[in-house]
Amino acid sequence: MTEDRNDPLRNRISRRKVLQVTGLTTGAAVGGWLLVGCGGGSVAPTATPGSATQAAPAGNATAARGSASAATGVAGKATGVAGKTPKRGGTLKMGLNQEAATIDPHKSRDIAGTQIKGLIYSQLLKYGRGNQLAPDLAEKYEAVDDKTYVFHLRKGVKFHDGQELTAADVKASYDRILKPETGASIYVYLRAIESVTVVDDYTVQFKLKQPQATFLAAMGYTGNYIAQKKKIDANANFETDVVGTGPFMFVSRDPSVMTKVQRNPNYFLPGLPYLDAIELRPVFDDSARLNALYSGDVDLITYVSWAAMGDIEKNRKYLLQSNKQDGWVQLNFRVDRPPFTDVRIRQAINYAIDRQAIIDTATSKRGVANYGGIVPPWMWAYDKEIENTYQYNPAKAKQLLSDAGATNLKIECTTWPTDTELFGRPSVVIANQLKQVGIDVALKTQPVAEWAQSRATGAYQMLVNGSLYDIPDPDVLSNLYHTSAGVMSHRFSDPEIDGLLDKARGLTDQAQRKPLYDQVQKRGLDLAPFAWLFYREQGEGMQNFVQGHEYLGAQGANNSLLETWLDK
Amino acid sequence: MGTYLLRRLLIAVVLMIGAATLVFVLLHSIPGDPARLFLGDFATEDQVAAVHHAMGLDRPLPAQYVSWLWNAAHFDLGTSLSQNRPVSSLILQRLPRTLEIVVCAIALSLLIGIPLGILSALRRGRPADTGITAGSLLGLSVPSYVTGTLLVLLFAVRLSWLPASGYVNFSDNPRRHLLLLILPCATLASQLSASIMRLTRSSVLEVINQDHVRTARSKGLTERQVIRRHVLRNSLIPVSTIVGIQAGNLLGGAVIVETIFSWPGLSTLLFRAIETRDFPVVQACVLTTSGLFVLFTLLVDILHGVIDPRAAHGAS
Repeated sequence: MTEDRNDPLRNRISRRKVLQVTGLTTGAAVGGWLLVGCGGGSVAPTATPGSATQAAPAGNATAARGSASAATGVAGKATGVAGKTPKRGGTLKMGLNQEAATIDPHKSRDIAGTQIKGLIYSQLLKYGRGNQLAPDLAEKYEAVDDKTYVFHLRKGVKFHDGQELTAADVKASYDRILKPETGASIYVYLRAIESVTVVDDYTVQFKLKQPQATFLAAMGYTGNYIAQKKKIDANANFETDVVGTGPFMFVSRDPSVMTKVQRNPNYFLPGLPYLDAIELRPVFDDSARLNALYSGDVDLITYVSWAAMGDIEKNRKYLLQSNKQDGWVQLNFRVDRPPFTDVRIRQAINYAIDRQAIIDTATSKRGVANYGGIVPPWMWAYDKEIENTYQYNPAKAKQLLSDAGATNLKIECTTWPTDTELFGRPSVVIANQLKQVGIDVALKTQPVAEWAQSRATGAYQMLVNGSLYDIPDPDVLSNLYHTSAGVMSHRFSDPEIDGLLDKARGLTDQAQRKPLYDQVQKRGLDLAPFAWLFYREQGEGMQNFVQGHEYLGAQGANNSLLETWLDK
Repeated sequence: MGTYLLRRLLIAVVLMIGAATLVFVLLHSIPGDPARLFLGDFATEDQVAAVHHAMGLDRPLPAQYVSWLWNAAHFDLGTSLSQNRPVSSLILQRLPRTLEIVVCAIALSLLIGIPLGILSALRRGRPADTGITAGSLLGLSVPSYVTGTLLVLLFAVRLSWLPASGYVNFSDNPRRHLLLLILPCATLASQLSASIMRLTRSSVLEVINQDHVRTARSKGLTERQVIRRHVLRNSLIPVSTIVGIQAGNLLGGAVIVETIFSWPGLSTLLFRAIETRDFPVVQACVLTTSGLFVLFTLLVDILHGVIDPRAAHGAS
């Protein structure tokens, strides 16, 4: 077919051509969508950056709920049918929620790093099944007086290079933890240690500057790993020179690719662990991590997003292990600046928020609404009396606002991007609810690093915030209400609360401490420098052949794979 | 050619330093403290101060800049603030992985785009052309994060033909390495192959109607000889330009692909370093990426000279 180059209609596209092309394209698109989108199987929801908690920045307070003598709301039941005999062997493939920035035993509290360290290192104490404080390297311990504790080490515990563990290693590890420049994650709870003394090869004595009720609880928490004295003294590179006393031995690590550990045949608990080896891979995109589980690339994933939890629960090929009250989400008020200098406005906001609605609409129905104090039901110091303090009451909110003369209030709320499930979506719901009582909320969204900076410098009016419980002790209230609290509050200071907290921290009898914490919580709720919104759920997803596993959170990461076995 | 290259390299170095300086200034102007981010929610103020000092962040900014520049000139890119490893080892480890998927994606795009484009041009107006054009429309308009996610859902989750994500060193497991390479490569290639196809098509159509081609036909050459000798080389000139430009874009698009497929390359290193305000790593990544970009354009210009003798004469 010859074409005349000079014909102006030469390149005109015919209507037929347009229709053909459009039809084909649309057909292909729809076909593709049908093929992939329909049909059973779980479709991983779109990931949102930074939705994985404050785990987005490296090194974060990933804590777990602790033990409790009155363990209510605890989801820590081991998987597997009771009575099934564990099978030995096999390699467990894990998908971590991010790359562990460091596996230095004393630095950083991120979930991923802790997961790895907990396999390789041991501590004097740890949190075991049911999240109870249990002996690890210390077979017994006693409080000589309220400022002195003595730990007796197990004898014959060997490091992975064959050297025996002695008290000198313990002292060296704690000396390192207590130096501020180490940046140790457990430092904030152990600052009261005055000295660590080697009494003999198997006995270590800790002396505190003042009595501290949380001491033992803190000693069991992650970050208390014992490393070899010779390595600490030589300033060894703990990223590559990894020797501990734990159930698994370090094999290799390529931080962005995979960390491998293998069974320690000389572990001090006979018969354990069951697994031969574990491979830990970072898969930091939430939906990629889920897809890795669904496609069988990995057997267990940490940090399941709320949106995916329901899918995993419903699917019999997988198991979900979670704790409904692993942490919390809150609002911070800048109490030293108007309008939040007026307590009535802070209380009004507390009444104006329908917390259950947040759970119903913004958190994929995961988590538990919190109308009371921040000490959770699974802690012994939980106060049932205050649990309905801030039931949804918009009428009362409006009343308080008009009493305070606050009409047409405009507030700026600093939060994460609105598509993030942790803080972003709830803040949209909150803004809507506050509008109903006449408060105009402007959401100022910031990426995590900037939000963290705003939080640290107090550059906000109202802030969406939250964290995870770490040591299972009501002294978590000090991290929130005390004048010396760090970034979790800003410029809130109440001498009465300070006095109560300091006193309670110095007592060791729970029966004496509880009434003090009850007072702190009641007063804290009255003064309302915060709005406690809801408890956040956190958990792990795994293939259904992963048995003997109990989600203990980061706190019990030391134990979480010790008794795990593969039923295949 | 020698002076030409030297001049281009010199310009490259200046550009790289300029980019890194700009990024340094920007990074330090936005809020975000690497020490705090590393230490977490319950860090104490004395810890933050001590770690700040250990990271060298309490020095005045110009001092930090000068010392970084001086070290960089001696090929010392510093130590990562969050990982406590030398930055150069991080870059050397992760850069090849990004290059791998980018180069493979370019190769795949050319392998798919050029033949399809030629076919489409030669069968213009016929069903083959319509089909290929429709396909290229899809490829162009669907963003890489949709393509990637769909591919994973189809091939990994539903069919289980390929792994969903991850990476393994070639030396450790060559088969798995190649299997893992397929989807990221295909995703990155989807848009580029579509634009190469369309460009090749219009380029061929343009050339095919020119006088010298008509002359070649009238000389008695077979159609195949005409295409091979006279049409192809001339059509490929605009294609090579596009590839050069797009290759640079691919470096940027790689971050989405690396995220979806957990491919631990340079882009995700940079992304994470920005999140954690790991200044030395961000700057080193910017240096590397800008250097690569310049290198790509240089290579393409040389390639241009090879394909089109007219350009080579003009350049030297």
